[in-house]
Order: sequence, then structure tokens, then C-alpha cells
Amino acid sequence: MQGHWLYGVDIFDEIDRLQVIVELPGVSKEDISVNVKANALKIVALAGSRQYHRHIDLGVPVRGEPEIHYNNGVLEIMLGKA
Amino acid sequence: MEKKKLKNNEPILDFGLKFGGILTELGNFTQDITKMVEEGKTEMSRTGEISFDKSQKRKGMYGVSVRMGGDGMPRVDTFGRRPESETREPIVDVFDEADRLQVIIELPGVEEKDISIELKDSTLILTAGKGERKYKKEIDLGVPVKGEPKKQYKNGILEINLKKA
Repeated sequence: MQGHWLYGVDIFDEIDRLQVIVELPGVSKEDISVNVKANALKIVALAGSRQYHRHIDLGVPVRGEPEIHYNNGVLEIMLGKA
Repeated sequence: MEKKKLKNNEPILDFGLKFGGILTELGNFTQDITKMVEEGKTEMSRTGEISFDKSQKRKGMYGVSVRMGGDGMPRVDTFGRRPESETREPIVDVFDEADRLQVIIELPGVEEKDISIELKDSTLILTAGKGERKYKKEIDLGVPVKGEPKKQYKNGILEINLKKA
């Protein structure tokens, strides 16, 4: 177990894309890195004492660049299904 | 000056549920805490889901977080979603700093304009959010406070500074 995992992850399946919502309070957008590999999403956010490491199995393959929004401590990631 | 943590604000698990399954989980949790101390970690949490009836239509989420204070005492907090509503209990930290108190509340997904705090004696009542993301918590500050609270909100974290009376 590493750092915070106090918050849940929501994955919404929207026909041709996936929407992933992760709560990461207390970090800035610049502190967040999102990596997509095959069916998995890796999110790392390091901001001083707040460190988040999340590994999310998406269940389906995805493609393209993820579209990322961060607002009020909530990270929203849009992924196109392969 | 080193920040000092206050006592817990709430008893563990006030969801009003049948505790069998939860207690089993908490048993495991106790082992995790021991492991956490051994490994020198300062923070951990455990979440789970609770079903209320056989049809599984009503589900609740519970969570417990443990943080090691600077004094070596673990502090346990509950957080989670109460099943009867979509209102969640946020994670709260209260720091005692000589002549003032600092309260840090995690409110991911909330707009600043949707946050309201109210002081009643030594209790801070927080209501925040709207729609799917709603939070509510009564925080016992332990000491009386005076004056207007100073608020700052950024990236889902609300910081409140209060002067001790």
C-alpha cells in the first residue's frame, strides 16, 4: 500500500469511450501524471506529503491520448476504446 | 512549532448497521495497522461496501483511515457514504496551534461557492457540495473559538483557521 487510497475510482462505460473519475484532493494539475498501457491506467500525483499512486484496470483496451481534466480535487480522464 | 493533533472527532462507524461483517473487516484492519507500524508507514485506510438487504439494492460505503500522529499515537477517522442519502462524511484534520486551530477538510469535487460552515459553541458544522457530491460533518473542536473563521479553498481542500476564545 502506498500513500493515499482513501478515495474510490468511478469508471463509466460510454459506448465508444471510457470516463474515469478519480478523487485526488490537495494536488495541482501539474503534479499529476497519467499513463495508459494496454488495458491499464496508471495515475501518479506527488505533491509534498500528498502522494497518490493508483493503478486502474480498465477491462477493455483503449487507444489514443487520454483527455484529462482536473478541477476541485477531482481528476476526470476520457479514453477512447480501441 | 510542531503541529499537534486533537482527539478524534467521532466514534468509529456510526452508520447504524449490523456490525458482523464490518467487525471482521476491522479485525483484519487491526492487523494492517500493526503491519503499518512495523513498516514505519504513517497513513493507511480501508474501504468496503455494505449491503443492507438480500436484493443488494441498497449499498453503503464505509471507510476507516488511520494516520500516525507526531506523538506516535494513531488517529482513526471514519469516512464514507451513508446509504440513506448520497451525503458523505469528509476526512477532517484538526491541528492545535497555540492560540488558534487549523481545520483541514477534504472536499473533492465541491465548488467553493457550495461550501458553508457554521460555528455553534465549540462545534464546527460543515455542509458542502450539491447534486451527487454532498458532504456533511459536525466537527467537535474541543475548545471554544471566537471571531470569524478564515477560509481558504484549493484543489478540493478546505482550510479553516479559527482563533481560540
